[in-house]
Amino acid sequence: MTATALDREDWELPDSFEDEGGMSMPVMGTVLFIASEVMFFATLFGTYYALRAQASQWPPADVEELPIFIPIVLTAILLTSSVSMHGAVWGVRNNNRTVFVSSLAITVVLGLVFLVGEVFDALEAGFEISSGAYGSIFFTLLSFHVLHVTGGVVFLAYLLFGAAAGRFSSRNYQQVESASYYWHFVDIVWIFVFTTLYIIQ
Amino acid sequence: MPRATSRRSSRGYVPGLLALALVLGACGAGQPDPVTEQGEGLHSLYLVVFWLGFAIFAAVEIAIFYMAIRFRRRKTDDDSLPPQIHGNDKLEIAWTVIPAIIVVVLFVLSWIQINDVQKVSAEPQLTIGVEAFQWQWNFVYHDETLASGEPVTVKGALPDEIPTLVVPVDTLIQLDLSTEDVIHSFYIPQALYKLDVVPGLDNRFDVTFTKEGRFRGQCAELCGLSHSQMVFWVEVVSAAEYEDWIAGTKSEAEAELLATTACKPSGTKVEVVAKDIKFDKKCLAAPVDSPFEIVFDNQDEGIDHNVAIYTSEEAVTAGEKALFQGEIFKGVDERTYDVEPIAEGQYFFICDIHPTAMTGTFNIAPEG
Amino acid sequence: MATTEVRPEAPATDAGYVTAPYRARWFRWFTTTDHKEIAKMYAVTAFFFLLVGGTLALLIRTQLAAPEQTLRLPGLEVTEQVYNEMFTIHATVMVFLFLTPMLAAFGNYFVPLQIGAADMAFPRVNAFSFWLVPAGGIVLFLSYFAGGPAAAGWTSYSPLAGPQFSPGNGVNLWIGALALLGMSSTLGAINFITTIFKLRAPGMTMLRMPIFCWNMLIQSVLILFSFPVVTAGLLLLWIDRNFGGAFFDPANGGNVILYQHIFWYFGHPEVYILILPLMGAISEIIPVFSRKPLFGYKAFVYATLAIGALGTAVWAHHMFTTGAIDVKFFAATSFLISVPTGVKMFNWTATMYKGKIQWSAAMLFAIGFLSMFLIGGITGIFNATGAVDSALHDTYFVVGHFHYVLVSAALFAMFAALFYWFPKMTGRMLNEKLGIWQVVVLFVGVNLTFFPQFALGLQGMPRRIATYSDGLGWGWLNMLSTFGSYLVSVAILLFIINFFWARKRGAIAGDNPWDAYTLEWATTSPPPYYNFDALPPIRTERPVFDANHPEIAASDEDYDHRVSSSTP
Repeated sequence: MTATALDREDWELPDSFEDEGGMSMPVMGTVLFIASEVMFFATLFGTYYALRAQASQWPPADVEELPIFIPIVLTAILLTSSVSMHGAVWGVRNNNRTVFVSSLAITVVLGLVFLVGEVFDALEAGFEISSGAYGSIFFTLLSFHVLHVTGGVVFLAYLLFGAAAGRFSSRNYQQVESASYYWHFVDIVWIFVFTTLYIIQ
Repeated sequence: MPRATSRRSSRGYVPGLLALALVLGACGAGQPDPVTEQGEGLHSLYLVVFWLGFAIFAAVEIAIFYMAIRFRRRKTDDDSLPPQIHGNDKLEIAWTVIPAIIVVVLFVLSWIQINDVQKVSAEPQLTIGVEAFQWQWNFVYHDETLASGEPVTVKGALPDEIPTLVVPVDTLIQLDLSTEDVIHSFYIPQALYKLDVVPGLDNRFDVTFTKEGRFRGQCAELCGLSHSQMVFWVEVVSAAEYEDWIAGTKSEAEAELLATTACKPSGTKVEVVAKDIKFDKKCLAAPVDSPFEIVFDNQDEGIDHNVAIYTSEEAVTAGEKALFQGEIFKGVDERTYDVEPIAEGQYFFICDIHPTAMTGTFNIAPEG
Repeated sequence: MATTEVRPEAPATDAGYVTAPYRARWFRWFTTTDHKEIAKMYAVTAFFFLLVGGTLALLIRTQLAAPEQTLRLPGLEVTEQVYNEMFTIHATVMVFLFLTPMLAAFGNYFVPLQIGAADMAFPRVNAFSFWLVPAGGIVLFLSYFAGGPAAAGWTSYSPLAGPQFSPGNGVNLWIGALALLGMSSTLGAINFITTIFKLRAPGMTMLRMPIFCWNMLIQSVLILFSFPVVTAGLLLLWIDRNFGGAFFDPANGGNVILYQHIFWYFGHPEVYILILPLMGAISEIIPVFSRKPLFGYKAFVYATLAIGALGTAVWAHHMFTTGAIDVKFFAATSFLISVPTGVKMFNWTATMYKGKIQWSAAMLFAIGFLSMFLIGGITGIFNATGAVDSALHDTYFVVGHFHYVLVSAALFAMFAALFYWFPKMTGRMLNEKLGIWQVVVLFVGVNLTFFPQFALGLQGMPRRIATYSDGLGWGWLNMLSTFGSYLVSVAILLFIINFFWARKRGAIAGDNPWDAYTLEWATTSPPPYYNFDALPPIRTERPVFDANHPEIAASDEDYDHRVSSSTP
C-alpha cells in the first residue's frame, strides 16, 4: 500500500466551516436541548397517567378538589409573557430597542409573578409529596416546572442586563432567539401541567 | 470459486463445528429435559431456534473466515487495488427479505408457545400459593385446611430450612405468586419457566408436571443480601403419595398445634417443669369455672422461677397485672399453686424472671 | 510498510490556519476546549475505569470459580453484601464510566476530523461534558466512604432500591452519579448532532459522510431521547427515597413495574448507544484493509436508522417474565431488529469479498468483532422469542449473551479502532506483532469466559448469586470462565505495554499510514490545532482515497454517477 505523492493542487480550506443555511448553531443546540427536556417531562407525565390508570380513585378520596381560579390567572400571565417574549424577539430582529428592552422586561416581571403565584398556590394544597402516589406526582410535576421557570427567568434577566448594555442587535440575537424558544417551551409545559393537574384532575 | 488453499483451511473447521453440534444435540442442545407439559412445548421451540441459530451461525461464521482467509493479501501480490465494488441492490434486498421471513416464522412459533404458557385456567385441579419473602419461600396449600381453618403450609427459613413444594404428577396446578417485600422470581430450571413475584401484582401460572422426581428451584431476580440462598425443592410424586403426604403433614401440623396453642384440659391438676431456663410444655390447659392447681417443678439449681398467667403477650409488655402470679423460688424445688377460677379463653403464661425465654399458651376451656 | 509522503510545514500565516492559545502544559488539560485533547482525556479516563471495572470483574469471577466459597483476600472478604456491591459497581462503571466515555473519545476525536471541521460545534460545552465524567465517577466512589455503595444491581429495581430495602447513601450517590453522567452524555449528544448538521465541509453531503459519523449521529439521537427519561425515572426513585414519595410503593398507590418501564425505555437503547459507534468504526476499518469501498453504504445508513428506530420499541423484552407486559408485541419488535443488524453483518462480510485483505492487527480485531458479535446476536434470538426466554431470563445465558455483545464484540471493536486510529492520534504506530498476539489471547480469553456461561444459564444458574451449591455440576464451567477472564486481563495488559512502547518507540506514522479513505487522513498525525490547512475536494464518501487514487476514480464506471446522484 504505497501512498502516491499527493497532488494537493485542488485542495483548499473553505472560508467558513459553518453551514449557513437553516438554524444557527446556538439555536439548534437550544432546540436539541429542549427535545431532551421534552423527553424528561414526557416521562413525568407518563408516570402521572400510569399511576392514575391503576388507581381505583383519582384523586384519592381524602384530597379536596383544587381551586382552579389562581391557576387560570397564572396561565393567563404565562401566556401573556410568551406574547411579550415574542415581542422582544421582534424588537431585536428589527433593531427596535425600545420594544426589545421593554418587552424583555415585561417578560421577566411576568415570569417572576408567575413563579410567586405557582409556589404560593402549591403550598396551599391540602396534601404533601409524601401523602401517597397522587401527592408525589402532583408536587414533582409542579416543582420541576417551577425549576424550569426559575432557570428561564434567570436566563432572561441575564439577557435583560445585556440588552440594557446594548449587546444585541438584528445581526446578533441568537441568545435572545434561543431564550424565546426555551420560554415558549416552558409555557407549553405549563399548559400540560395545568390541564393535567387542575382540569382533568 | 474456492481454490485448494481455502478448502484446506476450512477443512478442520467444519467437522469441528459438526462435532460440537452433535455433542450439544445429544443432551437437548444444552437445555435440561423438561419435566412439565408446558416445558415440553418450550423445549421444542428452543430446539427449533437452536438449530436455526446454529445453521445461521455456522454459515455466517464460515463466510467471515472464508473471506478473511481466501482474500487475504499475499506476499506475491502487487500494489494494485482489487475491483472497487460498491454494493449490489439485489443482494441487499435478498438478505433483508430472507431473514425477515425467518423471523416472521419464528415469531409465529413463539406466538403459539406464548399463548400456551400464558394460559391461566379458571378451574385448576390444585391451587398452591407461593409466598416469596427476603429470603425464602412459603408454599400454601389453599385446598387443604387444618381443623383451625388455617391452610397446610410449608415454611422456609434461612439458613437451613429449605422448603419443599410437594405436588402430584399429571395434575393441572396453578401457582399463585405473592410477596410483601421486593421483587422475586419463581424459577424451576427443569420446568424451563420462571415468573416474577411482584409486590402489588397478582401473578399466577399453570403447570402440569409430567415426571416424578425431585427438582431444584431458585429465586432468579436479585432480591437483596441473601438472594443466592433463596433455594427450594419441588417434589413431584404420584397422586397416592401426594394424598399420604398431605395426610401426614396435616396430622403433624395438628399435633404441633396441639402442643403449642391448642392443648385441651384434662383434670384440675396442671403439671409443668422448668429446666435449663425452659418450660417443658408450650401449652397448658385447665377447665373453665373451676379452681385448679399448678404443680411446678423447678429443676434449675439456684435459679429463680415461677409461673404467672397474663391475658396476652401484649399485656406482659404493657406491664399489666397478672391474672395469677405464682411464688418465685429457687431450684431444685417444687411448689403447688392454687389458682382461682378463670373465665374461658386463651391466655399467656410466663416465668416472671425470664419473660422472653419462658413463655407459653394457657387455655381455659370446658373439659372433654 | 511503504513510505508515505511527508507534507511540508503548513503555512502558519494562512488565513485558515489557527494556532492554539499558549497555556502551561499542566494547566492546558484543565482548560482545553480542543476536541482532540478532550477526546484524549475521555480515552484515558475511560481506560482507567476499564481497569477499575475489570478488577471488580476479576474479583467476581474469582469468587465464583468454585462452589460454596467465600473469597478472602488481605483486606477483603467477599461476603454476600460485598458481592452484591461488586456486581452493581462493576456494571455501572463498565456501562457509564468505561464504554460510554470511550465512545465519546472516538466520537470527539474523529467526528470533526471526518467531516472536515475545525472543532465541535460547542467546544466549551464539550469540555464541560467531559469534566462531568470524572465528577460522576467521584460521586459514585464516594459511596465507599459514606456507608457502602449501592448493592441493588445496575438496574436498581424498586422496591429493592427503595428507602425500605436499601437504606443508607449508596443508592442516593449512585443516582447522583448517573444524573451527572447522563447530563454529560446528553450534552455530548447535542454537540455531536449540531456538529454533524452544521459543520460539515463543503461537498460533504449527508450521504458522503463516513459511516462512523452516521452511527455517532444516530447514537446521539438515541441518547437525546433516552437519557432524559432515565434521569427523570431516577429522580422519582430519589424522591421515593428521600422525600417520602410513593411512585414505586404499591402500598401507597405506586407501581413497581412503572420503574422497569422507565429504566428499560432507556436501558435498551443504551445497548445500541454502546455498540453503534463501534459498528461505525468497524465500517471504516474493514473497507480500508480490504482495499475496497464499504459494500452497501446506503444499506448501512438505512440499517442504522432502522436499528435506531426499532431500538426505542423493544425495551420491555427485558421484562418478559414480569407478567405485566404484552409479550407478543415486544417479541415481534425484538425479532424485527435482528433484520437490520443482520444486514450489517452481511455487508461487512461482503466488503471482504474479492478484496486484498491486509492482516493487520486492526483488521484481525475487526474480524474478531464480526465473529463475536454474531454469537451475541444469535443468542439474542433465543431471548427475543419471549417463550424460550422464560427459561433463560435472569440466568447466566443472558449474562453470556450481553457480555458477548458488550465485552467480546465491544473490546474487539474498541481495539480495532485503537490500532487503526492510534497513529493518527499520536503520530506513531502500535506494534503489530504484539497486537496480533493480543488478538489471539483476547479471542481465546473472551470465548473461554463467556461461552461456558451459556451452558450454565441453560442448566439454570441465575445471575447475581454470590455462590452456588456444590453438586450442581456448575463448578468446572465457572472455573473455565474465571480462567478465561484472567486471559482477557492479560490481553488488556498487552495493550497497555504496547501503548507505552509505541508512545516512545513506535514507527513514525506519517499522514496516512493505511492509505485510508476519510478526511482525518488528509491532515498531519496528530492533526494541528483546528485540524486542517487544506481539504481535498469531496465528491464521494472516500475523499482521501479519490485524491490518492485518481486513476481509480477515473476508471470507476459508477464514479460519475455516484458523484452526481449524491449531490444535494
